[in-house]
Amino acid sequence: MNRMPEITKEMFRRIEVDKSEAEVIARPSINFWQDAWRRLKMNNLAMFGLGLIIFLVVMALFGPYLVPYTYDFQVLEDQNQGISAAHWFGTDDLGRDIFVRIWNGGRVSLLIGLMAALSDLIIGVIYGGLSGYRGGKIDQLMMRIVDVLYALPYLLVVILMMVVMETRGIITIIMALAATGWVGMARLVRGQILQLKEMEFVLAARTLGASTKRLLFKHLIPNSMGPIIVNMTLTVPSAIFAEAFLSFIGLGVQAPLASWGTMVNEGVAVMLSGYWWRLFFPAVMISLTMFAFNVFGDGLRDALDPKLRK
Amino acid sequence: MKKTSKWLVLFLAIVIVASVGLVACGTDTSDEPTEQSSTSGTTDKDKPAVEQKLRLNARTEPPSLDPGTATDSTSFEILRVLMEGLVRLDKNGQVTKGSGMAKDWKVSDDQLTYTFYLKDDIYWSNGDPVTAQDFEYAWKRVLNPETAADYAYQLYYLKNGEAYNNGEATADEVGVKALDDKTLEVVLEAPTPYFLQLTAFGTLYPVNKNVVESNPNWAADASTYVSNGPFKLASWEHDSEVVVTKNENYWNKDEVKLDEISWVMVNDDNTAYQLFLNKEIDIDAAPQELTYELIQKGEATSTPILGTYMYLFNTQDEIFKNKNIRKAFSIAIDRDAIVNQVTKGGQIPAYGFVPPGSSPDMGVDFREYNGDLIPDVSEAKKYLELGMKELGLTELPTITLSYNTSEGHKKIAQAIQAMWKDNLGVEVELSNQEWKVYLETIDAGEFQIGRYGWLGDYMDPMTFMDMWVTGGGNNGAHYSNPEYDALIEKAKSTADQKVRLEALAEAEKILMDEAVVAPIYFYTRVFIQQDYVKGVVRHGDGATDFTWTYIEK
Amino acid sequence: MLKFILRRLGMLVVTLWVIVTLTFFLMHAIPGDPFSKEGRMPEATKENLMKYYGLDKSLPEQYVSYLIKLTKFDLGPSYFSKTQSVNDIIANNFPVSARLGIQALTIAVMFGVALGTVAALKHNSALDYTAMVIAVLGVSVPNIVLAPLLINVFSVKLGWFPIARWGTFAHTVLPATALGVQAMAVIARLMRSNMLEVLGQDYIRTARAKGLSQFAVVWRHTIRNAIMPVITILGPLTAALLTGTFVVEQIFAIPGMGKYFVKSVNNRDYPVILGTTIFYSAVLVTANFLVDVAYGLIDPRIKVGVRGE
Repeated sequence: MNRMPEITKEMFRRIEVDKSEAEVIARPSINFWQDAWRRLKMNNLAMFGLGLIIFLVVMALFGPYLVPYTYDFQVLEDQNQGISAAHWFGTDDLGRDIFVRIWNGGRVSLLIGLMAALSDLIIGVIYGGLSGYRGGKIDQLMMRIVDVLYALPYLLVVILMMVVMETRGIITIIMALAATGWVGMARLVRGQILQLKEMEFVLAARTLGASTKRLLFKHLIPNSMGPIIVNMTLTVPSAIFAEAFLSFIGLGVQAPLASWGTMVNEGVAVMLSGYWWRLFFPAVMISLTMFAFNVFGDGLRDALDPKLRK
Repeated sequence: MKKTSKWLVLFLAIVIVASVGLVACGTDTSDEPTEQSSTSGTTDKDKPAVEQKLRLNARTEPPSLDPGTATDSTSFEILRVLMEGLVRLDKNGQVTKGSGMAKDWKVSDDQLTYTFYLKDDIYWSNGDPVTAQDFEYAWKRVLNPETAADYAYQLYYLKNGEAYNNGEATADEVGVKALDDKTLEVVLEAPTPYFLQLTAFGTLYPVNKNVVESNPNWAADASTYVSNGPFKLASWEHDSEVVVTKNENYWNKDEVKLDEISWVMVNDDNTAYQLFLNKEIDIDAAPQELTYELIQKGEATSTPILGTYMYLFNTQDEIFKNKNIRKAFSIAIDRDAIVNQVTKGGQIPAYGFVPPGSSPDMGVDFREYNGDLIPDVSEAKKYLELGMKELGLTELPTITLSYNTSEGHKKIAQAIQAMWKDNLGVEVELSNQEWKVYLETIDAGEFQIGRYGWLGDYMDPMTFMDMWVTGGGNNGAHYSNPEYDALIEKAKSTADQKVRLEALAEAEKILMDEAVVAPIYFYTRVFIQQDYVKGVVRHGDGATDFTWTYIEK
Repeated sequence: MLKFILRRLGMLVVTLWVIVTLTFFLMHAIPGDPFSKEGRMPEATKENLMKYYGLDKSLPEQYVSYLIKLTKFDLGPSYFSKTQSVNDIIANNFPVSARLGIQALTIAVMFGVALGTVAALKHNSALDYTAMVIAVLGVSVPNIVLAPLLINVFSVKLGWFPIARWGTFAHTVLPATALGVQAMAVIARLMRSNMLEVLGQDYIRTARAKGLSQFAVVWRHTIRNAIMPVITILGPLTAALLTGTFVVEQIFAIPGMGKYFVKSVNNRDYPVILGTTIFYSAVLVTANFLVDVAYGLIDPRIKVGVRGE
């Protein structure tokens, strides 16, 4: 395997030099994002994930109009019916069409998942980045604040928010999730930065007089993109489930509207009765979302990786 | 990078396999307990004598096994076999002389003084005789403000009971006194026709005076626990299991056939049902989602318990101060559909407020006597229009229905929301709240329609009717009607059951005509029980007594 | 080093104090009182109860007396359980939760790291995809679904394990698995992503060029450098797993501590809320401290908390 292949004369070919081609730029100049997009496009799995995300979003927006029911239309006599031509995903215990409820719920769950991931990214990454980069006493202080936020009984915080905020809507739910959701990300980024900042290229950049902002955003954070993206993709399903928990406390979406998380909860309760479609469809939706975000996230990670840029 | 050597992958694969093996090792040991139980099960069949062990599910940890501080049905279920009051309700749920600690009693003509004569051969599980002083001590202990017993009000029937609990009277002024070791004199505040029944209730059980005085924490541990009932506490593993064994000092021990009763604490419906199917639990509540199916198949039994599930109207609200609007909303609920298609637990649709079986002492069932008091759905629209005219409204503003968070309440609320839309054309919003927040909301009157449930404290219609008097502590509807108050007062001032029946029936008619509440259904308890368990006694208020239970295989 | 540890210990106390203070006032700020139920109790009874538990005093007074008791490690009574104090609850239930948590953690770390590593080394192969499907399922199938499934398959159908409850080692296998799977999936994903990153680094190429064996490259150079994010999440993860989980305890009927975090808030059982929070915080802060120490051990270049000296 390591044997050097023999080199023969036939392997070589003379190239004619065409002077007119000298001025042609072989590769169009493209910026970072174009390059990333180009590489992302080559990753079939990632593109599949992206396609799936787009499909889910489109269905959440338009799916409810594909059937002649609304999410709260109930016919008690038709309760717990299996899959049929009339009800593609069956019906629930109040005789409501699960297909329309799934896509209505998708609006809630997808929005919440995305917003939670976004808040993770914005608050968590910056906080963790600063903490890790500054190090020393500031790091210790910032991390103890994270500990405190992490340790406060979440239920108490949520009940308090529920009482303080009179109006309940998607914004309130997102705020409740964002309130402490970012601390995990902050710890993760901080750990990465602690490791990265001791590396040679950071020292080099610092020696060259790069500002803190530049160091953080051009060197340290881009190099931590792997765990950041992975963690973000994990945030999406956990936010979807957290919403289900919130509606259990009374802060989630108000019935008769449902989210995927609350539908899974209801589906689990009837597992014994054999109404499998009530658990299956919302669970599949969450898994699909999870899968789509994961493969897309992986592709994105590869595409954005500064080391892989050629 | 692609040329990863295969053996590294192999190594990691081994790690995985090894871990699986580790889990598999657990399998070997795991078979032991299950096998043991199954082998012991088969040997049982061979043996002539069946093991007299009953295995129950308490669902959660009983908060207290001290009769003075217990307040929940789990604790009382265990206490019922550990302790015994002056009276133990018999197999038919009736008060009979000699069924409990008292062999006989006399009631004065004014119905205010009860003299109880205790049996001679009654002993605590530690050998001490049970005395009248134990009862006096136990009851005064419950009323003592320093004990801070939640259920002190169960003894407010005693003369100066409430005053002592309030700190306005001394212990000596309370109407309970041991005349000698075996004679107990009880003086009541007012005639209470159901007082004998109450003496069977957990809060009125005796405690061993010497034991409690020497160790206030006596009820926390099996080793210090002393009881006077058919069983004694053998072990208490918190959050896991309570075991009681037969009390050889019990006066009626010959009638007690069980050697042991254990309560495991399995709260998940699915898990509990699997344990039941595996015959590791003998009796349990039917799993919520399978209730209907199991009743249909005859595998679960539904028994009524004394309780009403209802929607309260806030009579102080701008809209719901109008009686006809309230009535419209109440009538528009299709109670049969709720029971048959939504809750599906064998509940009884409620067309009156007081549940059936509430009046064992009245000679006639109160519910049957007073009949159905809620008109047909078709009249709903008429009342709504009438009410809106009275309020000068052409259109109803958005109405909010509040409930505390739970899957069951949510389901019912959604179904009723749709019924209101169909039958009245009214849009109602739902709003769910966490339990304790919800209680404050109702208390403060910050709601329009709210879910509520009421379980009777004792077997008499009064426990349902006196909550709606002006300023009553449980008057969540904030209802006030002098005519109603007068009827309740009339029923309270007499022991004549005929007068009481008339007055209470009249009061219920007012309650329903004014639609202060919309009763939805009467509670039932649905249970599953292995075929080999016999002789379980279930009372009308939902209480279960295992004193006479036995296993027959 | 001693000075460092002492300083961290001091920090722990301060952090705990902040948590206690915030939780104390937070729990009194939310509506609901510990003794309310559907049927309202008479005012006098309620006053007796408030007096009995010292709730009739002003909040600052209650706060101070709580702190004083806390310095004696007395966490107070439970309003709900009349037989167990908060100390009793922790003493009875923590060992159960901890045992289960350690087993779950072992499963999570062992399988998670192995899966992630294999997936990265066999990037884009069938093995990689399988590992990632497991990870996706692990995260997107919540415990309330997974746990009953495990019971139905392994206990009811196959009869390998007891259905539920606590006692022998066999009782722990399914709940530990249910608890560990989610953490395993998270660890596997992080591990894979970081392994891929590290495998692309120049020093790995150098190591290979030096002719190091594949084992040495992966074991000494790659895993060591890639495990950082896993170590980071181990802090909170350990704290969460050791102190019990409501859902798994509920489904498997395990006498653990997790239920008290939920039950205490539902019941407004103030001493239990505070007690469990303090206990959890202490475990969390300790775990995070160990994580920081581990950073330095794994990568000697990292110095945590000593730069200011």
